[in-house]
Parts: sequence; structure tokens; C-alpha cells
Amino acid sequence: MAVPSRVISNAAAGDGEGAAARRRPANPDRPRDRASHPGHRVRDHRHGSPEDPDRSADGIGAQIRREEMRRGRPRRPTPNPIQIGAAGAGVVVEGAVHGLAVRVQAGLRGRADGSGRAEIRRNRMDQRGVGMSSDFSLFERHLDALYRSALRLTRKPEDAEDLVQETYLRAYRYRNRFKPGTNEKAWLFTIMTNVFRNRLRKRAAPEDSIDQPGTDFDIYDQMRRDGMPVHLMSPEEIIVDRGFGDEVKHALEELPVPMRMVVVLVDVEDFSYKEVASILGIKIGTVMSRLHRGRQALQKKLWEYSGRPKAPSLAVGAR
Amino acid sequence: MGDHCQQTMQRLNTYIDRELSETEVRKVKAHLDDCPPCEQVFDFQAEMKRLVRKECCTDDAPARLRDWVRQLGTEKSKPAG
Repeated sequence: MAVPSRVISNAAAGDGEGAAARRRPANPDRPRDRASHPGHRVRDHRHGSPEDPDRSADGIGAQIRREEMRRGRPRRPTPNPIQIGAAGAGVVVEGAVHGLAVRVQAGLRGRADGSGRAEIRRNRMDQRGVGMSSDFSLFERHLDALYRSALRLTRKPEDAEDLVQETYLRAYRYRNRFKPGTNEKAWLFTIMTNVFRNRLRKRAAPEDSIDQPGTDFDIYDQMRRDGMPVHLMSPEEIIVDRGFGDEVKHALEELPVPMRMVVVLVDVEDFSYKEVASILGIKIGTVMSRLHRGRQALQKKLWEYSGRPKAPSLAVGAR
Repeated sequence: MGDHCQQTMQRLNTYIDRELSETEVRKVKAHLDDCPPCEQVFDFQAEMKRLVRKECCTDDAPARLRDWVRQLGTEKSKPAG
């Protein structure tokens, strides 16, 4: 099936899964893989960035530009065309959409003067989307998942809510790029993780400080070395029962962002490695190593929280 | 730790994440049946994963956020003002 409005250049025109499919071929052995679309197999040529006005003069890019002109907000340079593609050109419009999010939120919080809704209508009229009402209710289904993951990423309810709103605004705005029948949950998470990473980048929080050496720690091993009957204990008994309620959430939130994203997507949201690779625009091998290190780091935190002696590799200067 | 144990341990994550092919799953299972120490590690880590999920699934989106998303979804079906 064709995406109705395919007017922008390669990078901006794909949805997340299309972009991922361009990066690596589909593996037919994997029944869980839903992220492959014939017709997107060509590798990303990277010619013609989304900034190139000639290539997008007539499409959503132009609409976005008009909108930003109206706001007097110039477009920022866009660092990674693949990720723009993955987020449905999300990066380019961050300023514009974010402004809208704030307005809509203002309306939501009881200061409605009608402008937020008018804005939504105006945007809607800009769209060339086809009938999408059913798709959007499909998206609503994943609200709790998006929200709880947003909470783990941002750590704060207000920020999580804001992140989810922006995610839905973009999903709404680019809903005609979603291919019905593909994985809408993965599509929404692609948008959300992109929005989140862009916000981090703006705050100059370097997200890729993560590829640190492995920690080589796991609770099972540690307890076995300590002579504990770990085979007779569940992680729940070891961690939660001794604790104060939210240890797992807290431990997760302390992980470096890239590891945290992978652990959340795999362990909490139950995405496959391949889906996570597509959502985050990274290799499957990177997914696996971040997951491994993330889980070890998580267990290390939980070990500390449980009030047991510090893990040897944690105790600086010990031994 | 024997060779079999080591090979199996390398598949710990992919096994509990259901990322292995059927053939590989069979191999891992065959080893775990014969090797209680490995089986205990696998059980523990699988339980760990379940725990993370369970503990993190307790936050539902606030009602007003849900209302807002619904409103956004129905915007388009109204006549353009």
C-alpha cells in the first residue's frame, strides 16, 4: 500500500519502520518481525537533506516552514536524517509542534481561550491525510505504555505527560505516514524516543556517554559467592520484599539513558530486539550489549538498595 | 563450568527474551534439563525480567491525559471550523 503523501525527500518521507527497513534487510526467520516493507529496501542515499527546499517545496515540509514563518521560528539544523525519517520528520517540526503542545496543554489545564483547538483545526486542514479516525483510536490503546515508559525516561510526571502529548501530536500530524497493519506501538515509541532524545540533546545532556565497559555484576552470582541459598529465593524476595516499594523503578531510572531505553523497551514493553533496533535506529548487536549491560547495572543498583554489602566492583578502593 | 554450560550461558538473554530459533531453544532446554545450576541461573534471570515488568507496569496515564488524547483523535471527525 502506498503512503499517500510522499512528497518530501527520502529521509523525511519514511516512517520509522521504513527507515529501519532501509538500514537492514528483513530477516525472514523471525516470525515476530513486522518491520519489513518491500519497497523500502533501497539503502538510504542521504542525498537531499530535508532542508533542501526544492525537494520539499510542495509537501508537509513546506507547510511546516509556513507554520514556522508564521511563528518567526527558523528551522534548526537537523543532526541525523535517519532519525528524522524514523520519527516521521519529527525533528524538523519540534519547535512548531511543541508550541502547539503548550497551547493545547494550557487549554487542558483550564485556561482555554479556544486558540489551542483552533490551532489543531488549522493543522488538520493543512494535512492531506486520509480517513484516519480508526488509526488514531488504535494509537490511543498504547497510552498507558507510552506514559509509563515516558515516566522512566523523564523521571517526572509533568515531563512524562508533556512527552506523551508531544508524541501524540506528532502521531496525529503524521498519521498519514503510518501504514495500517504495521506495528503502531513501535511507531509511537519511535516517535517518543526521538522526541525524548532531541530534548536531551537540547539540554546538552550527552546521551552516548554510555558505552562504558561492562559491569559484570549480577545478583545471582553475587549471592552465590556470598554463600546465600539463592536458588531457593526469588528476585522478588531478594529485592522487593526488603525494600520500600519503588526500587525497581528507581534503579531503572538511574541507568544511563541509552541502556535505560533498551531495558524499558525489551523488559517492560516486550519489544523484540529487532523492533528495538528499529525504534532506536541502532544495530541489533548494540541492542543486545546495552540490554546486557543495562540489566547488570540494574541489578547492581537493586543490590545496593537491598541494603546488602556493596558489590565488590562498586566499592571504589575496596580490595 | 563445562563447554556446554558456557555455550548455554551465552544464550541466557536471547533465551529469556524469546529471541532464539526453535532449534536453539531446544538445545538450551536440553542442557538446562541436565544441568540444575544453569537452570537455576536461567530461572532467576527470567524471574528478574518478570519482576522488572511487573514493578514498572503500575503507572497508568492520568485520566486527563487520556481525555486529551481522545479529544485529539476525534478532532478530525468534526467539521473543519
